[in-house]
Amino acid sequence: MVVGLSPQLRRGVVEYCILGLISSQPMYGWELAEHLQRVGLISSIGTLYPTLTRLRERGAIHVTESRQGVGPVRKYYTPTASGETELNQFRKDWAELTFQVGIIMDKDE
Amino acid sequence: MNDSQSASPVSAYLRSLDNELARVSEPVASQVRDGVAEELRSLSPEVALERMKQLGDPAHIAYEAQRDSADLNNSPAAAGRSRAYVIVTAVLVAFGGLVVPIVGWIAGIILLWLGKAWKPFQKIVATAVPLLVIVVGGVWGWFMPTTSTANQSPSSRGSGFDAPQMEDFTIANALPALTWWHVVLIVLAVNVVIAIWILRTGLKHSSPARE
Repeated sequence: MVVGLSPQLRRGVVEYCILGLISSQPMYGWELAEHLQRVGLISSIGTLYPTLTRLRERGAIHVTESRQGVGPVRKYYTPTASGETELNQFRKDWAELTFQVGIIMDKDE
Repeated sequence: MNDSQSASPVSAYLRSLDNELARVSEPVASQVRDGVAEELRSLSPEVALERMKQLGDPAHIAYEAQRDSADLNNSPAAAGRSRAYVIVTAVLVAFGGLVVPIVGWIAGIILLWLGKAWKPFQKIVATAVPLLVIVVGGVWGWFMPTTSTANQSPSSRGSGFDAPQMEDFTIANALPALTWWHVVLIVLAVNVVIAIWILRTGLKHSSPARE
């Protein structure tokens, strides 16, 4: 997990990473946790569900129960229209932010 | 579960997770529990054991869920799971109907459904049981004639000794008399029991008091 990152920053970034992951295809809890753990954004599934709750409470995602292929019935998360809008805005802001932060950081080196 | 062989380790893991999640507020606790159970139950026994290792210590999962849901306890939605909210809801469910007949109880049930401290099945049980008692009481009362032939004086049937008539041996006469007052008292008692139950379950998953 990215340990040096402040909890607020990590939390905020993880929310948009979840939106990014489910915008390409619906995903279930463990699938999301596995992706996020693999890149070091969360350390356990315990972090995932509070984030999903925040996204649900502000109407950025919705949950549907379905069976994909021969697998069991699972809860799949997909972004709502407002979630998609948030994600698109974040993509623009993130590109701008990393560019601006990069200018500052490069100066320090 | 795909195989009964893995029932024990998975059940033990979920039990341990349940115990640890007791300190995590709703709805996060239920979501973590359901998500983990959904995953483990979809796997073969061998893979489930491997997955439990990947998931890690239930205490760590609960710790992270609690830490990361701290801000949820301060969100507007947390108002629906505060201690005060849970207590007011329980009091209205128990005694609201006494203060303002029917409307007081309905207000308690509305708070219950809007609240975040209870699981859907708890809301359904708390709403349905008193209604069921009313329906059963109503049906019972309907089949209980207020003046059955058994209660009629002999003079009303004719003079002299009256042998029991066939209509005296009905289900209605076998049941104790139940008036609407009895039903109301039973519903009140049921509501008090339900209120104690939702108070206990609600406080277990309520948010800490806001500073």
